[in-house]
Amino acid sequence: MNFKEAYKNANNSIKADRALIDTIYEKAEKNKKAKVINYPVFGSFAAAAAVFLIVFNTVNFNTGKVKGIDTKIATNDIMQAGQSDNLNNAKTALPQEDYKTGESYTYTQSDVNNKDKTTNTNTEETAVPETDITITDSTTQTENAETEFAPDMARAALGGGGGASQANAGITTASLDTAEANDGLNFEFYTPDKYYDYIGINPMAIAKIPSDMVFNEFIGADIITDEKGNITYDTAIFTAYNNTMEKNITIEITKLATDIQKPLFVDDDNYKSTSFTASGCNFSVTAFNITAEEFDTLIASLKQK
Amino acid sequence: MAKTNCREVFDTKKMIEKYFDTVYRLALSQTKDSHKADDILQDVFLRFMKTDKKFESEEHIKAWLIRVTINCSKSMHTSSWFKKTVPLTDDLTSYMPEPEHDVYSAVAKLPQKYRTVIHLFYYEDLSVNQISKYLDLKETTVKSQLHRGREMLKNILGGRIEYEF
Repeated sequence: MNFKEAYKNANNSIKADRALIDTIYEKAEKNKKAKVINYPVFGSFAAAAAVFLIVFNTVNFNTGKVKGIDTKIATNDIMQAGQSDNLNNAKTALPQEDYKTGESYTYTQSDVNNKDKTTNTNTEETAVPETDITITDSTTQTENAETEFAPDMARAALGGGGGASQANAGITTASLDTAEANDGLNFEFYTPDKYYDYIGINPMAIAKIPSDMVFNEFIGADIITDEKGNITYDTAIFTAYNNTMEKNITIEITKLATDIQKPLFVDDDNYKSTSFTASGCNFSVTAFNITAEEFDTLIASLKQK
Repeated sequence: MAKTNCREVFDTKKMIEKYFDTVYRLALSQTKDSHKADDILQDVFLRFMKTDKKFESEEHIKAWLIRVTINCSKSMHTSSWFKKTVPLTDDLTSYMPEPEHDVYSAVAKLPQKYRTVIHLFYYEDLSVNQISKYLDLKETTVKSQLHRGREMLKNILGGRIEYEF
């Protein structure tokens, strides 16, 4: 069997849930009716207030305090908002040799304060423990619970996944969280095996986004290396939202890839997109529901360096 | 062919039935998460039912569906507001026999833009020219992405499968 045949067979075996067709029709009908029916003002206000309260209590608006928590992050998982900072603190608080796969660790702010932070200037050194780290996430309040953190990203390490790295001899494909770099402009990646010291300029450090929007704590990235460990492909994605998520911005940045993909056309009047090269990096920017002026300000700020 | 509204010439329900699995499989290849793919599936077809766009042909409809699916996947992929990603191999591929499981898992490991062209080329049987139009890319870019994707797949799969690329 060749690749094409195997891939076709694999896809043909995948079926969508047909029950969703009915769901789609129901939603379409609701959308139609929603245009006609006028909801009572009070009901709309109550709904909006409820959404605001729910979102306000769950979103970290750029600066603030996070309760010290047990933080669980499995390798290769996408990190939730706030976890990158907690992982950074956990790594600072706990000696590397304490990490054991599958175990839970709790730290407090006093642990963080009492440990010296080390900076890694040698790109060949292993910057993170060799074993996978599993820390359990919960909202349990601990002693010295409140931890103040900066809005910038914290150093975090995600492995490429032991299975994936081992299977792909000569190639490392890692989905990573990015981290704050030395001067706040660049950003860096870690895997348990390798420290990548530079991928490109950090849009979060220079982007001017609307005042009611914040950058997501989560940053996604892909790194491909060859057999010698040289990076052959890179891309990182940053997103920003307002509290209702109606306004959103996506910035995709690559330093090495030259075939930057222009954002696709969509049927939406509120969609804006562009791609360009600036500061030695290739940018692809898309935005929904921001004004033309806000979009122009954003693009100009990314091009300023 | 005169431009017509899709609802007048093309039966919307028939189009949804016809391309339902197509959209889902593409969304799944993009997101590697069945729950996200379900959400994208609904989003795409709700937009399809709402759009006033005039489609010239079924191929035009398919191209539109593919573009919107990829856009929605990109947006979904980057958002941490949605559910945490579950490794695909632990979910849908566990029932697949070898070598389908190996091949599908290998493609899932590629960067998203390579997965896109590989899927459109090898599963949807689109030509380089068609892919370049669907994705608004130069043909050389599509060829380059296909080449890189194939090279990576060869490394990932080793000698376990024949490649008649």
